[in-house]
Amino acid sequence: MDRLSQNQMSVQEQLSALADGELDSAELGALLDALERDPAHYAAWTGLHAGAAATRGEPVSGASGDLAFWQSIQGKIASESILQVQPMPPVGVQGAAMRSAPPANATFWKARRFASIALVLAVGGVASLLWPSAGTGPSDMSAAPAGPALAAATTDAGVMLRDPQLDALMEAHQQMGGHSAWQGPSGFLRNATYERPSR
Amino acid sequence: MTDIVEPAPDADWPLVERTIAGDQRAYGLLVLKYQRRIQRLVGRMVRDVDLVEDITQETFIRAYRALHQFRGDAQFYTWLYRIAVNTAKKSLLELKRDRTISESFFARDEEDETSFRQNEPSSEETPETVLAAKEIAGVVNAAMEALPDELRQAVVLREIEGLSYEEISLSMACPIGTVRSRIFRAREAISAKLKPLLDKQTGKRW
Repeated sequence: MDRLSQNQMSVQEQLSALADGELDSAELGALLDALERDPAHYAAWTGLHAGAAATRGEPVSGASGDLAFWQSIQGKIASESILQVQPMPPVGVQGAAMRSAPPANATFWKARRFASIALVLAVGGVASLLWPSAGTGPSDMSAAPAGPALAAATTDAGVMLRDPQLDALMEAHQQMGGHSAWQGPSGFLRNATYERPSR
Repeated sequence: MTDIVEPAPDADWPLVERTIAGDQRAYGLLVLKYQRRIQRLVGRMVRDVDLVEDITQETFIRAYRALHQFRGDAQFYTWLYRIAVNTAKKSLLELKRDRTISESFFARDEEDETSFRQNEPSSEETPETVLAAKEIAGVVNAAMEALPDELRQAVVLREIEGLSYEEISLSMACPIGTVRSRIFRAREAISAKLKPLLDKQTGKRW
């Protein structure tokens, strides 16, 4: 092995080799430790580059680098590193955890859902007593020759009259999976969206 | 198995690699190496001394943040140069957008005919710097002439020809360790002659 060992080389020799990119990883680690122990060697590093620039006929300015400049940068970088190191659970895990945990207001919404269904059934019962000939079922409406074939669907929000043809059309042309995919209010699309039956 | 080392494409790569691995001390050496060059570069685009300092600092911080994206396709300095130019341009644009600053900052020459526009690119060449450069070149040449042949040859092959230690060792028929030592000794000798001149320059504007 032709290379001089780490012990044989002085710190400044190592800096010279590093300036040429000729220092291996182990030597570099030892050199950085030595620089940390004695920051005076930093001046040798900057002087080395100033000398090399002068030898090549490049512009030279100042023999010593500004260690304070690096220290101010180091301070900013260190504070950023602390921010980056904050443990963040993966999005998938976070999402799964949120899905598995029941919401705090689950009981309220469950009670409200049952109340809505009961209210709709009560209104239907009263209507059938007052206007027995009008009919209440969707079959009566679908029987009308000129009107569309509507179907009653019971959802969490109550009974909804749906047009199967429109549903089929919307299902064939849906792009965003229904209005719930929109992040904000989209009133202009309210009557032309398709909610999957599973919802 | 032969122990031939490929010439390093970029002398900064070991430091870049080490920084990416999490050793900030390595980045410190890169900052110290390029601080003045980046300041000179930014100083050619921006004349305001405080702004040059801020932009230089911002350049190194941005480069650090983006270093994991640096793949070594270009030289590290080329990559850093681009970041510096973009940072300077961005700062100048932000200054121009800020009406409260631009009215006073960019229109100083209207108020005072003798003042110059602070953001105009300018040449760093002044009679003083030209003279200093000549003086430095003279000292370097004299120091090189005074070197023993084997030291002069080693440092010229490295600094002027850009050969790797492996190539120099083949060319000079000596071990790589000897090449390393000769280059170091030559640099030491040149630095000793150059130091008084460079110390005289310290504190002056780039």
